[in-house]
Amino acid sequence: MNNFDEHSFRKLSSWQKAWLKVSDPEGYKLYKHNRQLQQLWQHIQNRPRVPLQLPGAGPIHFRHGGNAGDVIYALPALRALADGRPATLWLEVDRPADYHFSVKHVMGNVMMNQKMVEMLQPLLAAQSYITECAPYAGGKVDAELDAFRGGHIFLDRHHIARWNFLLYGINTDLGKPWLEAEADAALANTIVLARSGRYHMPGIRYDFLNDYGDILFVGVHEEYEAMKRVLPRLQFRPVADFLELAQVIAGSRFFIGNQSFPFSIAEGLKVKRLLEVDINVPNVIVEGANGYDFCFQEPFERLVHDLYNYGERKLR
Amino acid sequence: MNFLQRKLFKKRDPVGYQHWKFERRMAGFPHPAIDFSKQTELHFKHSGNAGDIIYAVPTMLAIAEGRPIHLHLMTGRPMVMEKGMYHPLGTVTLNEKVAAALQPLILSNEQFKTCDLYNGQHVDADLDLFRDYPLLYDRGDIARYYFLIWGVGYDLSQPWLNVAPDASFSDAIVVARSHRYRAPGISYAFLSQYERVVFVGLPNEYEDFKIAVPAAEYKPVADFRELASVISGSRLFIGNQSFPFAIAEALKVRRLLELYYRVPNVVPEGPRAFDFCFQAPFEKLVRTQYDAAAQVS
Repeated sequence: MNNFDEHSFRKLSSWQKAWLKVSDPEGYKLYKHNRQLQQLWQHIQNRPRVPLQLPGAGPIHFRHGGNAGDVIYALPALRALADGRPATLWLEVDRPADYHFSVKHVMGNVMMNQKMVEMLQPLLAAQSYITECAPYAGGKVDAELDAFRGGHIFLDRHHIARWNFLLYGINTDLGKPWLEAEADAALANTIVLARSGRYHMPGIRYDFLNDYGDILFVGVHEEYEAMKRVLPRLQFRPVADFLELAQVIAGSRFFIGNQSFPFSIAEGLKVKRLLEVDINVPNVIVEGANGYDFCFQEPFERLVHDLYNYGERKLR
Repeated sequence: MNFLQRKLFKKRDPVGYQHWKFERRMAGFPHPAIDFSKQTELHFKHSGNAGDIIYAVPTMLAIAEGRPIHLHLMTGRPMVMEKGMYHPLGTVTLNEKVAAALQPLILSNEQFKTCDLYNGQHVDADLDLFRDYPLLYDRGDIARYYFLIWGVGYDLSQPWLNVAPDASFSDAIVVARSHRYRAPGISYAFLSQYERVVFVGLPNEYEDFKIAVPAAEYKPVADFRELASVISGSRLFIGNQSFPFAIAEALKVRRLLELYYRVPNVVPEGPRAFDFCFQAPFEKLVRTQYDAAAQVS
């Protein structure tokens, strides 16, 4: 199947497909497989080309159009591409988003709005390998950090932080931290929790957290209200920007989050963390020390118990 | 829900539909014991594939937490495979020959005291359970499937096998490429410009590879410990999502993974781990990592 120039494929009409499905189910599966492969091949050929080399020794200008979590996961690629050179990260505001109509996203119908950019800026500008972070206002871009969109990479799987690695032919050890933030020492005994409206694993309940003392919710207020229904004593921690959010997460006893923006910060910081994995879209991979993931209730409760009492999963 | 309701649900909310299916399959499914504090030694069972066993080792090490490990390999479990896919073991996930070849490799980790065939021994954790769970095996990370079930973690950027390198391959790019899991549009022909390319794997895979790289040598091995020493000794290892890459990943050698777009369930972790699914980055990675390996040595 690798020689696509010679690969011939005839697209069937809806009726032909329906007939094939009834008359030859195995043949229909093969048809679907080949059709998907053909579509992917077209996307691969039409994909936006990125530079594999960034020659010179001067500053490099990167651009990203969001979402915010994707920006955080693109930072290891930025650092690898910059390779010690000054790096400017431009964030593009209001790029249209194409969410499935069943998906409710806090950004509405854009990838990233002005407010989100303003909240990201302090965190990104505080990183030693980023010289400047600003909204994109025109100018030559050396490397796009969201060129993974367009169908040539399946975004519901693999590993968000590696998508740019595939395009640019690079790597960094994602088991090492790529974010720095001063820990908020006042939260050393506090479990910090985030859970967005998307990416809930069925069957996962948080009510058992009522047995634990000090729990703080970060995220949007709507998400907090939803969690407060099962955790009545839950406190909400609003933040002025995402640098403050990172400080809260960095200072926590440990962090629990699902596949949303706050977890990307926890993963970048490599704090003690638990990820609620949505097995349907497991494109966030926990790497390195102090990281655990769960999608079943019993291991979730055991992990929380052990991390709370022993600081790690205790097996003996 | 009847057939039409299900179709409508799937169309309206594909993620919700998958969740509904998951919940339905999980209903009444008992979770295995995850408390291992009483055991002084740990007994595990696994029935393959061979690569899945290698990816299960971090879970065994995490559960054992320094205690002795006994691994019992079950042969003859029927294999369920996607349409159009081919696997050299045919209809089973593990046979006696592969189990025997695995044994020296597993036992090279001193924490493993036994690696034998399963014949009804007591087991503390049946690692085959991961196949009974309604996880989606075409995504995620094979090594982490077990973490999810037994609630453990292991830093996968650290090696979990350690085999002495065969220095006679220190000048070679070692390649393995199974018939399954090939990225569309990827060609290995450019490897002909490198001085020494050695293929490991099955003879028919080698014959196929030789079409692209006619000068490639073939290295047959007596067992998987020998295979690991060849991979460990190589200047650079390139593999797709098949058994030899699992060894390279466990050893943490300098390695490139050919990623299969539909089933990216292998995740290279650590500092010298690269993956590719497009030709130009592939060629760049081989060039840069071939040179980087020379600088290190």
